[in-house]
Order: sequence, then structure tokens, then C-alpha cells
Amino acid sequence: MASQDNFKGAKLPCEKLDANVRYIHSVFSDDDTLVTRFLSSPFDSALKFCLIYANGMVNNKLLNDDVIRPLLQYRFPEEHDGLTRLIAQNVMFSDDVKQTDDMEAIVQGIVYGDTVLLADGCADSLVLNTKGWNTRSIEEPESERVLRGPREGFNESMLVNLSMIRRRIRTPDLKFRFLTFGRKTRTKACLCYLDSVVNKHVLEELKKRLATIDIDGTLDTEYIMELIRDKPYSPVETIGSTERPDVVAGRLLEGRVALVLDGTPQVMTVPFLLIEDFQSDEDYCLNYYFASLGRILRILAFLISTGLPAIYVALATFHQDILPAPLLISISQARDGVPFPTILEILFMLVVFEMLRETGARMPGIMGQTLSIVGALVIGQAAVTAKIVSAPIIIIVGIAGITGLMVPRLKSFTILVRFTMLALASVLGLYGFLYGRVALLILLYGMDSFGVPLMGNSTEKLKNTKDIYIRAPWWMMITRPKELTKNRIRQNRGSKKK
Amino acid sequence: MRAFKIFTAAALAVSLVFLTGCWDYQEVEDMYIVGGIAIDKGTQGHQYRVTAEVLDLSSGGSEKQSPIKGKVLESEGETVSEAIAALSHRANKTLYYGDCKMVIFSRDIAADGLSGVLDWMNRDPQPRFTIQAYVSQEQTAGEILLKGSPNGQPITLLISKAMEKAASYSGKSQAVELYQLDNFLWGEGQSATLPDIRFHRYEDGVEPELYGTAVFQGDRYIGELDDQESFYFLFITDNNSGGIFLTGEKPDDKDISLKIRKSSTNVEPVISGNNIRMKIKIRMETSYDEECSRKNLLKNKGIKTIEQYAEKSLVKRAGQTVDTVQKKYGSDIFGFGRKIYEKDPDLWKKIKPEWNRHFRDLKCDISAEVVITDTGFAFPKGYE
Repeated sequence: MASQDNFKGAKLPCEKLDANVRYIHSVFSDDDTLVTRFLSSPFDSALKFCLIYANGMVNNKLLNDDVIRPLLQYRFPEEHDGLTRLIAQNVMFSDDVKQTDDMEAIVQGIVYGDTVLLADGCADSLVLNTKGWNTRSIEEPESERVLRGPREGFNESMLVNLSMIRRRIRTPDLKFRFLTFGRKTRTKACLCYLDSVVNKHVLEELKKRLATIDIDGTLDTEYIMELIRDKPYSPVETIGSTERPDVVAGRLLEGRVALVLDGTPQVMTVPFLLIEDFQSDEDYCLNYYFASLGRILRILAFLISTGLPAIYVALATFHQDILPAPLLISISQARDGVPFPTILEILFMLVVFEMLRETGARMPGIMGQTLSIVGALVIGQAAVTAKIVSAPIIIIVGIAGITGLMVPRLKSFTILVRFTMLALASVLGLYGFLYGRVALLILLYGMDSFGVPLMGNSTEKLKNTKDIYIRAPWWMMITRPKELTKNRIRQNRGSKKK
Repeated sequence: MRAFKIFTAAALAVSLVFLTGCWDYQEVEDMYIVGGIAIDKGTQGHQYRVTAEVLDLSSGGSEKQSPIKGKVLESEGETVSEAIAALSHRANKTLYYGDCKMVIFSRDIAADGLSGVLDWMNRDPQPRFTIQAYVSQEQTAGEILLKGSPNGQPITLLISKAMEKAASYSGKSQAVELYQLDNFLWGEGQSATLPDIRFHRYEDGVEPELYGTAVFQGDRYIGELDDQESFYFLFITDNNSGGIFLTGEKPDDKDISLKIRKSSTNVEPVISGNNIRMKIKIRMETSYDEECSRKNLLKNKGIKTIEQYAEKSLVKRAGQTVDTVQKKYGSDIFGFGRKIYEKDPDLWKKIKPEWNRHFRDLKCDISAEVVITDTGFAFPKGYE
């Protein structure tokens, strides 16, 4: 009984209060946070009640003022049809009262901060909303900071997160559908979409895939993302994820579906276009010239970050004739006395860079000084001076590393592509580099996200790519992206000042 | 089916490597960058002797990057290619000719004909078509590389750097690159010339300098033009891009220097029946650079007069140069034949076999237009 998760179909056993309480106790055996409070009405001692709740999950003030106080102060009439019904209708101050004898609802209520009220002589119970626990305050998400634009970020409470989305899109067209994941965790989740804009095929497909999930727990949206993504083995994400309500709102308005999961600030959105990783949230809050420049730089940074080490190795070890003579001379001078082949040098430094990055992300902030000294001095300066690596390698790795961090959401993919390119280039020279690039394009253009091509309309003519390589001014973006929705009119006319 | 797919993909990937990949993996420090080569006659019974200057980039273990030093290697062979191969063997490193700046021929190699010597450079993938070619006026070509360097710096880099600027500084030397040389040798109607290189001798050593022009007949070296002749030779072939022109004609016993800013030459054959004359029009824009006189010639004579002086002497000296080449060498280094070929290919076909004789007797009408665009001096009050 104790290890059972599912109470579908189970009911409270009888009308006797003691038996019912005992039954619930047996369900929650070995759980010391469970509080059981017996009461009886001061006006009629035959009226016995029992409150059961999980300590720490409830708001105690709410419980005292809105549940216990009215219960003890109410003068129960002699005649009534059903005690629980009377209490639900006339006594409780609580905003949400459910009358049920379903064990599933009772158990879920208790573990989710509700209080269960049992009355002697009744075969059903009242589940009262007394939820109350501390959540993190609303802060700006660390990973998606902006200089200009809204600074609210999601926190771990789904309802708070939903309220942030609703506050941005105030229309009944915005739909919220609750779901539950995880046999053990019973994590609440909510599908959000704009009914008139959303692509119904995508929505159905998403619901279908979500229905297949059978796992004991989903602690983050990543669990769900990995379980339902299009190409399970692909290194490219096919589902978007963000911590910013304004981003989710923007994506909903373009016809995407969002899934908010309780317990994590990460909200996933589908369908996903690769370009979303290059679209900074700030792009839409900044002047479009500047935003476009930033976006072009980010795309360029991805190409550089994935290609530069490979190109260096190809040029320095296969195609010296492409290098201008002074550069060739200075590379050759720098290489003099370095014991390892170029490819080993660059692999070594790339791995060291990734280690530094990983350390920086994991270590306590107070030790930051150490990292910068070790990173900059010991590994950069000293390695060159000691002729373990040559100076151009440091520059190449530095540039590749920094440009890689310019598109943080593609970070892992960038690293993977960088090493693959490097391996190809070190065996085949520039041919290898080109094969790598071609393979990358084939991979990316062959991928779908919920029936929508991952690369979106990036190959279409410029007229249709107003939000791909650049961020066009708002008065130009009259329609929504056509691969995302059939309801395309965003503005009836571009309301530019004439 | 799945296994078949995987097998196909793997087979394609493997053939990618073996059929199209390139396998010339080469670390930069395992090769010597050749700055330039010199080709001489062999001395130990071999046909050719090749001297190469390579860039020695090793720092000798010190932490600082030391300045680049030149290092000279020599070897001999029956063919240029054999000598080059022997050079690599001697160096114990791959020699890399992709950045080879120059090839210097000795006079006796050049006199024997360049076609055979050039073949390796034209055929091998590494040396580029932009290698500059020179003729050494010293005993051998190799000694330019051997003795030339003033302080251990690679001499080839110094020479090629000097050559880049020579045309605009002095207007007396013009680089000839391999493809241009090929055009001279195998194209129509212009004999080859190469810039000369020789030692400038000091009390305590030598330094290479560019001086004069080597004249070829066919692919064989037949003589030299000196500094002044080279200057006017470059004028007539429209290759001048700078330098100082002295007006001469002695307006007041002193020369006036005009700095050439822009010059262009138009050569046009005038054909009437069997009689061919070359019309050469030189136009030169100059600035008034210097007058060695206390009499303020510019003010007294006026710009027009000085321009006329300059025009007169330009016509005279250019004429003398053409004359010298015609009488002394009879080799059409000015490319008059090419001009005729361009204008009337049929006529060219007829006279081509006899061209050398025709060239000797060819009449030239030279005219010049000199413009002084600025005088470059703010006259103080009372300056007379």
C-alpha cells in the first residue's frame, strides 16, 4: 500500500471518521510531515471533523482563519442534507473547495498543499485550497540578461509563470491546458497557445507526443524535450526553451505552443527554428539597425567559432601556399621549438578552454580570481613562453572560444561542430573543412521540428526573411512567419509614419 | 536495409578520403621557406649549379623572436630539377618555393638561352608565376645570395622590397615576373629584358643594387643598357611610374629637376605601303622639384619655356636610346613588332622573319609633351 502511486478508482472506505483517517494514514505511512487535526463543534460535540495536511506545504494562517475558525464558530443546523456539502457551501472561507470521495484527488490534494477535511458520518471529503509555500522572487534570468527590455524572468512556480504570460497577452484567445507528468513526481504542466493563431497540426502532434511520456519524474523541461524531440540522436535542439516571459509571449504571438512545467523556470516552445538561437530577446527592444548588426555578428560568430580552428590547421599544415608570406613566416617562427604537431596543440588548447569554461560555470564565484589568473597567466602566457604551444594557437582558440559564447544557446552544438570540423581538416585539409560544412548543411536542412523545417524559410527570397538574418523594423513585419501559422496577418498595414 | 545504408555511407566516407582528399600534411617548421634562387653553370662537371637562400626562422632556443636570418644552400645537377632535388637533400628539410621571390641568372646561363632553365619554374606547382627574374652582372649569380646580405638578413627579401619601390623612386628598374618573361619569350614581337643586379662596393663590403637592364635576343642574353638608357627604355615602353627628370638643354648652365608624377607613352605604327614608321608620343606630368640657380629661372623664363626645354631633351635622349638599341643590339626590346602585330597581323606575318633587319632601320618620330603642374614654392616677398 505504501509504495502505491496510483489511486485511480479508489474511494474513501466508509462513513466512519476513524476508519477514513486510518485509511489515509496507511497511505501516508512513514511520512512524519502529515498533520492530522481532530476537531469537534463546540455547539454539538457529536459533530466530529478531521483536517489532514502536509506540514510546510500549507499556509498556516490561511488554514487557521479560513478553515478552522469558521468550522468552530458555525452553529450547525439540526437538519441538513449532507454535512460536507453544507460545510462547503456555508462554512468555508476557502476560495477553492472540492467535494470528493476519490482517493486520487485526496492524495494529490494533500501532497500539493491542500487540506483534506473529513467529517464523521460522511463518505466523502472536502479538499480545501490552502497551498502556501515560499517561492523564489521574480528576478532577471542570469542566462538571458538584456541591457534594454523587460527584466522579469520565470521562477519555479508554474502559476506565477502563467500569470506572467497572461499579463502580457490579455485575451480569452490565450488558452491554458493543464497536464501532469511523472508517475512519482506528478509534475503539473500547462500548454499555452493562442487558439486563433496556433498551427493545429503542431498542437495535435505535440499533444500526441506528450501523451506517450511515461517516466517517474520530470524535474525540468529538458526531460520532456528529450522524450518528444524529432531526431533523438541529433546534436541540434529541435525545441526552444527560454526563461523570459516576454520571449514566450512573442513566440505565442507567432503561433507557437509553450509548455510551462512546474518546478522549473525553463519554458519550452515548439515548433523551433534554428534561427531562434541567434535571435536575442533584446533584438526586439533595440533599434533595428543595431539589432540587425548584432544578429549578423552572432551568425558570423557561429561560423567563425565552428570553423576557425579547422581553417587554421588546414592552412598551416596543408595549404601553406594560401598564406601570405609574412604570416607564414611568423607562424613558422612561432612554431619553432614546439614539440607537438599543430593539431595536437590546438586540441590541447581547445580542451583546456572548455575546461576553463566549465570550471567558471561550476565553481563558487568567490574563487573567480584564481581562475582568471590561472587561465590568463599560467595557461596563456606561460604555455607560449615554455614552448608548449605556439602563440597563434592561443589567438585562434581565444577567438573560437569567445565567438562560441556569443550564441550561448547553441553552445554545445558549436563545440561539437568545432571538434568535428577540426578532425576533418586535420586529415583532409580544406577539403575536409568543406565536406564538414556541406555535411552540416545537409544535417540542418534535413531536420524538422514538429513538421516545420528547422531552418525555416532561411533560403527564401529576402522579402520573406525579415526576421532571419536581420531584424526588420516592426512596420515591415506585417505578417507572421508563414511556416508557423496559417493566420498570418500581424498588422493590417505597416503603420509607418508617412 | 539499414545495414546497407550504413555500409553505403561508410563506403562513401572512405572514398572521400582516398579519392579526393589531399595527403600533403606538412608542418610549417619542417620546411624551409625559399626566398630566392640563383642559377649558375656547374663547376664540378655538372650542368647547373643552384644556390638558394632559405629563411632561417629558428630562434636558437631563446624566448624572444629573433630577426629572420638568411641561410644559403648550394648544389649541382645535370638539370635544374636535379639540382633542386639535391638541395632539399642537403637541407634535410622540405624546401618550399611557394614564397620564392626571385630567380637570378648568371650572364653565361642567360647567354646560353633561358628556355631550358625556365622550364622547371613553369612546370612545378610550387614556384609562382610572379617570381621576379634578374640577371647578375657579377661573375656568378650565386654570389649575390652568398655575399650580398649586409647583416645576415635574407638578401632576397631586401632585393624584392627594393624592387617594389624602384620603379616609383628612380624609374630606372622595372621588375619582370616569370609570366611576363614567358610572354616575351613566346609571344609576338617583343624581345625580353630583365633588370640587372650587381654589387655596390663600399670600402668594407658590398651591397646588391639594381642597375641597368639586360637585353635578350630570343632567349639569349646579348648585352646591357646602362642606368640612363634603362630610364628612357622604360619611358618608351610606358613602364615609367616615377623618378626625377633633368631638363638638360642648360637654360642657365644648371639642370632643373622635374619630379615625374604621371607619364604615359603611346606608340603607334604608321604603315604606308612597305614603309613603316613608329610614332611615339610621350606625355609627362611633373612637378617643379628643384632648380640649382640663383636667378629664379622659373619666374624669368616662365613655365612654358622650361616645359619646352624638357620636351626637347626628352625627345633627344629617348631617340638616342632607341638608336643605341637599334645599332648595337638590333633586338626589339621596345615591342614595336608587337604594336605592328596588334595593328596589322597580316603585315606582321609577312615581315616577321625579317623583323630583326627591319628593326635596325626602323624610323621613329618621337614627340613629347611635358606639363609642370605645380612649382612647389611659396615665394617670399622680394624674391627675384
